[in-house]
Amino acid sequence: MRLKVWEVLRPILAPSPIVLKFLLIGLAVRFLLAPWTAVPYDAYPFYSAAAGTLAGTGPYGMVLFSYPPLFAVISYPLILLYSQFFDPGNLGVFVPSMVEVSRTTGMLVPFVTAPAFNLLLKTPLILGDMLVGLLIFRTVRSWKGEEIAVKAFLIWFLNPLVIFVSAVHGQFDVLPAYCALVGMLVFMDRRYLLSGTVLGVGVLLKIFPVYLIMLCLVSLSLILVREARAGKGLVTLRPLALFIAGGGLSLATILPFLLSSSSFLEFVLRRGTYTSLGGLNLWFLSPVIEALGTGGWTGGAVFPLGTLLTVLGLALTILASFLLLRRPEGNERENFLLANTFVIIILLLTQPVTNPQYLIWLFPPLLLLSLERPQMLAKLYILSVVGLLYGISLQSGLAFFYPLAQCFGSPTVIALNDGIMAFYVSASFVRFTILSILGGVGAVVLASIMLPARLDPVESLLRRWTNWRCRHA
Amino acid sequence: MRSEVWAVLAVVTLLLISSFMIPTGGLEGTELELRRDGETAVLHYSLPGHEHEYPASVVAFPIEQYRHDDITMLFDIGGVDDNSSNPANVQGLIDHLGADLQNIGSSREVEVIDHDALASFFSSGNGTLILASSLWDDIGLCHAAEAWVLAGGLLVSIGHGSIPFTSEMGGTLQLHYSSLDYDGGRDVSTTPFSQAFGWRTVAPSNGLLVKDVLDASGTVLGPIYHRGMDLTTMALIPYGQGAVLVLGGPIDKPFRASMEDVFAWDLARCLEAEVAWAIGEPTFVRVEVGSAGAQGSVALDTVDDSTYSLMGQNLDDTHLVFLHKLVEN
Repeated sequence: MRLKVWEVLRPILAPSPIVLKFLLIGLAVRFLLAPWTAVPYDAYPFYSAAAGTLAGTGPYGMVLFSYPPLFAVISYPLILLYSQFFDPGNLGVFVPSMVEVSRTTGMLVPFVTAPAFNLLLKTPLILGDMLVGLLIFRTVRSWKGEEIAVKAFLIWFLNPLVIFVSAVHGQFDVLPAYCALVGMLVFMDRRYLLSGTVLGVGVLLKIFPVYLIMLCLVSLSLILVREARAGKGLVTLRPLALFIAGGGLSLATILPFLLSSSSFLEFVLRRGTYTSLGGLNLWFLSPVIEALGTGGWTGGAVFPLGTLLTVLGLALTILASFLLLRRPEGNERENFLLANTFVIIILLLTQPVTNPQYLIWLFPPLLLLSLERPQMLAKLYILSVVGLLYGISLQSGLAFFYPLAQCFGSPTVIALNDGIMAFYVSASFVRFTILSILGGVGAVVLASIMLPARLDPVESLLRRWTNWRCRHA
Repeated sequence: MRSEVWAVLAVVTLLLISSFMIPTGGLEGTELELRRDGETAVLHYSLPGHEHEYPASVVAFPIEQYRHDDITMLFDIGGVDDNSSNPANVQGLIDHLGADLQNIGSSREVEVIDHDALASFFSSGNGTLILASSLWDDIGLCHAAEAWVLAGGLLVSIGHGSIPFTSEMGGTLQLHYSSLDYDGGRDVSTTPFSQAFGWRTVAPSNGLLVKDVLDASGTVLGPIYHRGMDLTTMALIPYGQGAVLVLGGPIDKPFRASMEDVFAWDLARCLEAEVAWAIGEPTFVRVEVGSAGAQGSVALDTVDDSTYSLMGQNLDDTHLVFLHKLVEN
């Protein structure tokens, strides 16, 4: 029986011995890091969703979880299982000594989640990392052969930013990224019902796959027009109808929420919207402007900057999709991958705040695009390093170790508080400057992906660097 | 086709999990009863059990009157100064308070008004108004606010500047704030109300001078921080026919200590239990409720013919127990 199960799982989990080996190493690293690390500010809404659901008020009962409901749904079974054996009241603790540092930095909450909670929360994310890696492997193997597929798998699964986002930071971006990857791949295979369903599920995790749905709708519209001109009649509507039906089917996953109250939708759309600007995008100068005492760029309630940027992002998405899908050069697959990558870059560059974890949305399509355009690989590496440094500079690396400190007392919570205070207060301008520089580098590298090689400054720099190294080797 | 089948199975699985996650309300079975016998009175309570132990409190106190006002809150984008809460935090409090009232089964609604609607609000009779920002710029409105409270209104003011009729504003209420150094929660004394309710707003950046509260014949509701002078996070000041429920402030980071989540938790319970009309100290008991529930009784310290407010509640995050009852003589 056990052999039979393994026979079924082997092609999925161990498509090659080297993949299995690094899969186990990658999983071990992640599961070792997961319990002892978390960002208190980001873990608190997830804790509140879990605690609220256990208490009977639902994930939105404490009004702190402001994402669409599906991540709370995915993470709930493990929390429920834990609560059958252990007291969920021990999943987090208020830490009075963190109040001052939390107030000063504005980026902490004096509440530390327990190692058990961190592990329960991050397990679906770690499995998400694995699923994306294995899907990349299978896809690349069918396109380019096993050797390149192994390399692509390793680039994803051992990528330090990917490990950091899921296993240390505990952000679930990999789950919608997986849905986006599956949705786009099956769309290329013309399996529109499945594509609509999976992309819809992605939107119910995080909003960003909406932009990919726009790309798919543009693609379907072009097909519809082409086939209508060929006189194919009503059958031309079938792909669009299947795609929309798939999207409708995905809503079934949250049907109980929709039927019980729709107020969470208003809450998710309003509270989930940023009113500040910055990060690895066009607004990268915001931290340094804030440091100069002007308060940074903000889009408050008076001026709906976030809404305007959303409209701009959607308009550019439709335009880019239309132009790239009708591109005469390149094959259909390359053009679609290009459009997929460009759409995510447009979103990353124009949205109000682009945190490092959002780069996870881009990496799978960028990795696949690198099969046709190898220069993309260097950009993925640069973005990984920049994203990792940005994540550490934003919170100070110390902020990730509160669960370890709270559990073992080494380092002590007080030592972490002091270190973070020094980082924020003593080195405030330096920190803001570093954030702006890293944000600027990230934005330039992101923008360079969309430029032709002859206009690409990153490509040019890398070429010069390679030449310099060759001369001095 | 196999992938499509897997997708449908995944959707059905998620649908099943979702159906177990919609709000169902908290634990049922809380019972509170006040038995009076001449000059003695005993509060009998029964709290529902759960497989995991949870902390809870049961409390009774006399009140002067009770009303079931909806809660009106000023949302004023233009009224921001250094002492006011940021509009984003005020909006946060509106969201949290509405949700917390719903969680504890209250039928009170949270209504939002802007600065221009205040004058007509003050002329429309009693009610409960939450101010988290200053009305400094409008002396006429400040006078209207004072007259409204004197006539029976309940003003909930959060942070320095949100009481429009302090002596600084030319009014009669001598009430001052001072910067509150939380200092990891050291050197703090509890008060009967803070123990009974387990307030969560523990670290507003400014606290109220306890001396001023007592001089104004008020009741200190929050814990007392000994910081050279005594400061508190919450107090009740009777004012004419009405009252001012004063909270330290402004609403500001971080969550769990001084932000909208904890202000809302405290205000929802405080308003629902009619603390604003308390005329005596509470009698309370704090218990750890196990799987068999908790049953017991507590004798009230002093008894008169007042109406009594009784409340039983959980104090943790992973349970929801709340019952409030009014007992008239």
